Amino acid sequence: MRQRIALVFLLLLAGACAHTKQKKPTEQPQQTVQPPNIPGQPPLSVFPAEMFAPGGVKKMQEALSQKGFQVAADGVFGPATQTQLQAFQKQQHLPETGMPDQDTIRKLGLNPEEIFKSKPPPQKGS
Amino acid sequence: MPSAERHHRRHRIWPWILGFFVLLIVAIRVAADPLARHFTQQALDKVEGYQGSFQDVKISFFPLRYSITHLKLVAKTEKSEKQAPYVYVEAAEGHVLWRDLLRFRVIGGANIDRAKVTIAIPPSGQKQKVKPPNLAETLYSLFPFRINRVALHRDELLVLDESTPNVPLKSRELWIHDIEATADNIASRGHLTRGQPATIELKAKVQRSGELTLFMTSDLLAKGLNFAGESSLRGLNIDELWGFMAGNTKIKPVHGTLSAFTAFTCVHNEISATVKPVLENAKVAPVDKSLSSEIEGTLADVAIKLTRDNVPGRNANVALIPLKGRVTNPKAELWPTVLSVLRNAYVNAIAGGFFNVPEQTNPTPQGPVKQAAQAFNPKKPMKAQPKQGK
Repeated sequence: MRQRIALVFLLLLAGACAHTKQKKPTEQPQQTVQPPNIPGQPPLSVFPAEMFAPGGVKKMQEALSQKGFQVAADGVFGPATQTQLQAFQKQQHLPETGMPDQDTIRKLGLNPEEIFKSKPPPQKGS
Repeated sequence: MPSAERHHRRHRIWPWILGFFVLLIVAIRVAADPLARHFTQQALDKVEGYQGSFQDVKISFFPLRYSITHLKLVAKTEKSEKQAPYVYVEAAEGHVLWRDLLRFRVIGGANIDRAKVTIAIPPSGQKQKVKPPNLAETLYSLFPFRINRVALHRDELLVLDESTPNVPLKSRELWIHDIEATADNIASRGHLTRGQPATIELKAKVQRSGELTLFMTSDLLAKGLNFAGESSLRGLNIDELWGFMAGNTKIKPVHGTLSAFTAFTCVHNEISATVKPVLENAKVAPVDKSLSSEIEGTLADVAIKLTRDNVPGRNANVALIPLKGRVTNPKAELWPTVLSVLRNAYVNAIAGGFFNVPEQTNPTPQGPVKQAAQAFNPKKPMKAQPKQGK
């Protein structure tokens, strides 16, 4: 315990001596830590972008553009897509969360089962 | 000609049958609203400790919808008339699709517009005068069908701290407003969710300057609690929060903004999360001129200055706090938290947003010296420690 306290004190002292050094923020790439997907159970997502099935974001972006909310169909669910999605939700009198939900996807003319990830259907005979 | 006469009689009956059904439909339409008002008031009268009232109730058949306006729940105390309602809802509706009903699926959705819930924290040592009602039960008594989706629009939550009467009223409030939220697939029936998890999405404002978001997915059918998601609070001026915490601290914020980013997963009641608070351009001062306040305020201000990153325009104090354990009692890891504060101050400034959230976990446990070596190495990322046994 004493050794730990001494270590922290020395670290603070060393840091205080070098404290005036200017640094820039470290822009580390996003570390996506996936929640474990348990077989037979719906896939869980930590971030909204992880909800989408392959190609789902692009379909949603194309549908937004067709409705007059211009966004690049790049398949990336970023701030630009969220802003346009929120504007669409405002137009449709839906809750303006800027995140995709079932009603928003249906009002875009899309099928949520094709846009979002879902667990595989049960095999015949099981 | 007996068969022609029978045929002629059948033709005369049809207008009577048609007339009967038209009268029945008119009677149902005329009686629906008054009956709905009666049963609604009956349901509200059953809420223990609260007096319920509303302005009007309407039933629509195409689409099948129940609407209620200006719903109020006021606690039954001596000062009920002057008291703010615990719940006020400007407009709420429940709806069921005919196609689901015809398939014997009594399942629908609810929309709640401009609702306000006011919660008062009583002075220390006193209990709440009336126990809060079970809002889910109240909602079910008004919309007696399985709700699969709830949408909130322009709602508010006000938490009032009555334990610090010396602080001005407006400062004692925690005000979460402009709440926009949806909850999908919450009926928890496998064949209805179509293989997708339940989701909650929320966006709201906190006090005047803060922006709150929440995203969560959950498997309601799995054993135990299983959920994952993220939450963020951005740009809250800390002086807007001071009044709400004034009773518990001898330090007051002079200026600064608080943001916080969280990502979490919970599998079978075991939660793993990373919380990253970011305090920018912060300055604190003693709350009064007493010796203890002066000491506490000065020490706190010095600690903030010593542990911030001195990046121009940011001057941020950042910590990465790993949480692990049972969902009812998660434990924060002390060493990684302390080391992340020091890393931000003396090695590399930790970026804001969801960078490093959630934090990666080291495959094997490390002692404090190895963790310190990793934290002070600018080329290696910070990692949380694996959970140590049960």
